[in-house]
Amino acid sequence: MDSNQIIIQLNDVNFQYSDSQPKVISNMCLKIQKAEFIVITGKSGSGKSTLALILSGFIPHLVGGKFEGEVSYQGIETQTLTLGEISQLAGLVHQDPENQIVTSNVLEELAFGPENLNLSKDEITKRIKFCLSATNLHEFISRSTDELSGGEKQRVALASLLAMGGSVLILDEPTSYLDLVNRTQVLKTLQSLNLLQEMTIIVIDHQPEIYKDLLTRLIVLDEGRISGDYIKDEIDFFPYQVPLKSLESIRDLSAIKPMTNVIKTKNYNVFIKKNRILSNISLNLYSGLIYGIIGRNGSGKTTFANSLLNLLITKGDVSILGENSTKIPTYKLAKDCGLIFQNPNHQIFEQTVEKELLFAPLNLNLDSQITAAKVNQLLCDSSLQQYTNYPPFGLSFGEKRRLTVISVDVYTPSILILDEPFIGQDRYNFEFILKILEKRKKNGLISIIISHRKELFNLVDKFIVFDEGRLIAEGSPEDLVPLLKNKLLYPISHEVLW
Amino acid sequence: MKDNYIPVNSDWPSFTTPTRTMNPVIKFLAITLIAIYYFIITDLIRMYSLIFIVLIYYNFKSFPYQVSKPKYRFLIIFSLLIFLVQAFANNQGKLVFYLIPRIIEVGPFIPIHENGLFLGLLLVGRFWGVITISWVFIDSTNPFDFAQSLTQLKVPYRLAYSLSLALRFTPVLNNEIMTIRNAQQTRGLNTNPNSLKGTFNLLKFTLFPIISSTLSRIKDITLSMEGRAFGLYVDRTPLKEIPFRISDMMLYLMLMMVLWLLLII
Repeated sequence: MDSNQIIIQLNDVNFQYSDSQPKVISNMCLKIQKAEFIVITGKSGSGKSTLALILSGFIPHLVGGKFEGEVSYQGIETQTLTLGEISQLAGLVHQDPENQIVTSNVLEELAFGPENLNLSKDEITKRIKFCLSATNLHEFISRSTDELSGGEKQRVALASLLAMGGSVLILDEPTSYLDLVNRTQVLKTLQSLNLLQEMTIIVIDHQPEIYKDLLTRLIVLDEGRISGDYIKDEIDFFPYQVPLKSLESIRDLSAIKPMTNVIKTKNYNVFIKKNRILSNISLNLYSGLIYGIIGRNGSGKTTFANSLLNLLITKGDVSILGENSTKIPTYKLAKDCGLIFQNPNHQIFEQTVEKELLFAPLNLNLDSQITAAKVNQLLCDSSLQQYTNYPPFGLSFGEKRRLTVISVDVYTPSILILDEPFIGQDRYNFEFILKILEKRKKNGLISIIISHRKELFNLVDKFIVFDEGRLIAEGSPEDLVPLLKNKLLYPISHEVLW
Repeated sequence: MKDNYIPVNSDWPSFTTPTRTMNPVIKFLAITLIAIYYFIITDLIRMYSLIFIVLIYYNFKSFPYQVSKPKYRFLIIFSLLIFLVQAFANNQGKLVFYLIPRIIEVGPFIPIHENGLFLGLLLVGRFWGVITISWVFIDSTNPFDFAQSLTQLKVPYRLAYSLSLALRFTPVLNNEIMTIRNAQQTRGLNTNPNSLKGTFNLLKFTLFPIISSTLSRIKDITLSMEGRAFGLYVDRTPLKEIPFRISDMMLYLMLMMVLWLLLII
C-alpha cells in the first residue's frame, strides 16, 4: 500500500459505549487509500455503524464512550481536530435520510453546510452547483424536502455532504429504503464520485453484493474485529448473503388445501387526507400462501397494508375473513390481522421484553391461550431469553425487530403483514423471519411481505405489483418476470432466476 | 440543461399570501401584538370577531396545512372544560340561572352567575385567540427564514436555529404520534380518544415510544448538524437574505393602530 495515498488510518482502535458493556471495536488497525470504494459488511452488532461513527469523527467528538487508539486523516490525528474540521474531510450519510435532513427545502439543505463554514457567497454557490450536477438534482432545487421520495432524499443527503468539500464519503446502508430505480441512481452517483472525482467511498451494508461492480475492497467485521479484508479480485463470494437453500424450502412447501379466501377487495380506493393514493384495487388473497407486495417507492404498498387495518380512509368493498372490515375498529381487527411496521421503535410500548410479548394477547383477551412455555420458546427461538426482564427500548435494532415479530406471532393471527421486515437485518435475523413464515405456511396461514429485497423472488408464492397507486399485476414471480424487467420494478437479475 | 445554474434569492420557494411574504420577525411581532391584545380586551364581541376573522383567513385555500377535525375536537373539548370550570366555580355577580331547576327545595341546584359565564367566555376566547394566530404563524413561516431574520438582527445563530428547529419539527412529531397511535391499535389497544378507556390507554402507552422516538430524532439531527460544521465559527454566511421591507413595517404599524383604536373606541 502506497503510504502517500493513505487517506485514513486507524491504529489499534478500541471503543466501548460504557464500562459495563463489551468492546464494540477491538484493536482495530485499518488503512484506507485515496479513491478506494470499500464495502464493510458483517452481522448485526459486529460494530459496522460504530466504525462509521469513528471514521466520520463523531466518536470520540460527539458520541460518548471509552475510546482508545489513534485515527488520522492524511496524517493528522482526528483528536486534535474539531468535529467541524473533520466534517470538511469526511461526511457520513445515515441509513434513513429522513432523519438527516435539517431544513425544509433542497436549496437550504445544500447551502446549510457551506454556510456554517462561513465561506463567501460565491464559494457557496460554486459548491452548490458542483453537488447539484454530481447528484443530478437540478430539477429539485426549489422543492420542499418533505415532498421528496426516499431516493430523492437520499440523494439530497448525499449532495449536502458533498457540499462540505470533503474527499471521503461514508454511507450507512444507503440503499435499504430504495426501490430499484432509486437504488440504481444512487449507485451511479457513487460510481461517478469515485471514478471521476476520485472520492473515497466507504459503504456499510448487509448486502455487499449490490456493490459488486463498484467496489475495490470488501471488509468483513466480526465482533468488532476485521475478520476478512479482500481486494476486488479476491472476492469470489459475498458473505452474509442469504443462502437460497433456506428460501427454496419455503417455496417448495405446497399450500394446505383447500385454500380459503381471506382478503377480498373490489374497487377499493384509499385516501390520505383528501388525496387518493390507491385506485380501484380488486384482489383476492388466499390462505396458506406467502404474498409479496412490490413496487416503486411511493407506489402505495404501505398504504395498502395500513388500509387493511382500517388506519386510513377507504371507499369500495373490502372483506377480511368474510366480514366487511371497514365496520370493525383497528384494535379489534388486530386479532385476525397482525401488522409489523417498518420501524420497530414505533411498535414497542412496554417496560420489559416479556411484558411486550404479552402486550397484544392481553389487549385482545387472548392471554389465557398463551402459556409460559410458549413465551419461553419464542424468546429462546429469537435469542431474546437473556433480555426477558430487560427494557425493550435498550435492545439493538435487530433485536427490536425480532421482538416485534414474535410479539405478533405469539397469538398467531390468521393474517400477518410485514412491512419492510428485512431493512437493517443480517442473515441471522433474515432467517429468523423466514422460519416464522415457513411455520405459518405449514399451518395454512397467509403472510404478506412488503419489501424491495430480491430474495422475495424465491420466497413468495405470488407477487402483487403496485405502480403509481394502481394494481398492475398479480401472479407467480416467474409469470411476472417480463413485466418486472420492463418496468424496472424489482431487482431481477440472472442470479435470482435459477 | 442547467449547467450554468446559479442559485439566487428568486430561486427560493416563493409564497403567495401576505402572511407568507412578510418578514418573519415582523410577523412574529405582529402576532405577539395580537396575543397581547387578546389579553387586554374584555369586549367579547370584538374578541370573538377577531378570532373568527383569523380562522377564516387560516382556512383560506392558499394554506396547505389545514387543521384536522380531531385537532378541532380536542380544542373544543378543552375549551368546554375551561368554560365549565369558570361557570361552576365563580359565584360572583348576578345570578343568571340554576343548572338544576328549583322545582323542589332540595339541592344542589348549581347556580350559574354572570361573572362565571363572562370569565369562562373570556378565557376560552384568549385560548382560541392565541392558538389561531399561532397556527397562522407556524403555517406561513419557513422556520429557517425566521432563524435567518433573527440572525440579521444580531441574535446568536445557535439560539435562532434552536427556535426554528422547534418550529420545523413540530409537524414531524405530530406525525410520529399518529404513527405510534396507529401502531398501538394494530396491537389490539383501544386508543380511541372518544372513550375514557381509549384516552387512558393513549396516555399510558404513548409516553415511552414518544420519548424514544424524540430522543432518537434529536440525536440524528444533532449528528447531521454537527457533521456539517454547525457552530464551528461564531458567524455563518447566509446565502439568502431576508429583507426587512418598508411595506412590512407599514403593515405592522397599521395593525398597531387598528388594535389601539379597537381598544379606545
